[in-house]
Amino acid sequence: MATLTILLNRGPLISEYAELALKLAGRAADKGHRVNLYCYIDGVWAPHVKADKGYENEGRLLREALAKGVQVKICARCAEARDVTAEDTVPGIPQVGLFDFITWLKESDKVLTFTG
Amino acid sequence: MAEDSPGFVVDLGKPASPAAAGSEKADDCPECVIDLSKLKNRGSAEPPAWGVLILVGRGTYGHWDDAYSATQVANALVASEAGATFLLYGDGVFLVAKEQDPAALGYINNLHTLRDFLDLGGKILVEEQSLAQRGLGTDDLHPGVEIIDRTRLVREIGRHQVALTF
Repeated sequence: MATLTILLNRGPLISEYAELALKLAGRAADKGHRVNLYCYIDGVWAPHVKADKGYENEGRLLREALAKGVQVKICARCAEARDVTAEDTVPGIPQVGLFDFITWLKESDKVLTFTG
Repeated sequence: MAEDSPGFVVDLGKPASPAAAGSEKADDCPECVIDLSKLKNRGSAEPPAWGVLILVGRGTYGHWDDAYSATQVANALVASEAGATFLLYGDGVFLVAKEQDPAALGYINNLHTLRDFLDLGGKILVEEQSLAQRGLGTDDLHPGVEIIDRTRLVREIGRHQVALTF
């Protein structure tokens, strides 16, 4: 089992990056890997998609990833800058500082950045 | 950051900020103390065994938050005593333009953060062809940065354990 950390810098819908990052996180978890996802910059908007939709969406993928054990954290500064509060996002995702991300980096076998 | 203090206290679970300095006694949280003098002296010592290469290819200010956010990750890395190197290419070279002043735009000057980064032992590399394509040279850059060719660029990618792209 390896540890994968994903840095998601882009928001949902405007591009495929958030969708790809979440699908990859879920598939890696399916294969038994430990997966971390840090939502940074506009990536903090991905957990903002909470309600069910009639089409594929990042909120559903995120909830599935969480159910598979993917660890997800949101950059607190990025969230504050965008007025994204804990109440606005999918439950169970803490807003934390960058040092949590640095700790994940140090623990990881692979790191992937989704910036675009 | 406090210039001369031997260490300052940061809540590692929350964003570091100048307001956090000194807000908690070291006795309460020994692991939260960052020894600034040790970090500042690290530049002449052996580089850390584990390091992150931070690639920035986008310009500063404007509507992209990538360059600014990259500087925040960089400073968190050096504050954690990890190695961190900026590799600026494309429009990313504007991140270290000398005497940049975005005050009229209402943005925070990235040079403030980058000065801390260099003070704490971080390195900034700038790809020379990107500079030339934009009509820039050494005299246009903030002191302390290093201009490298593409052979060295490839070597730097191989030398670091992790690469983050902004």
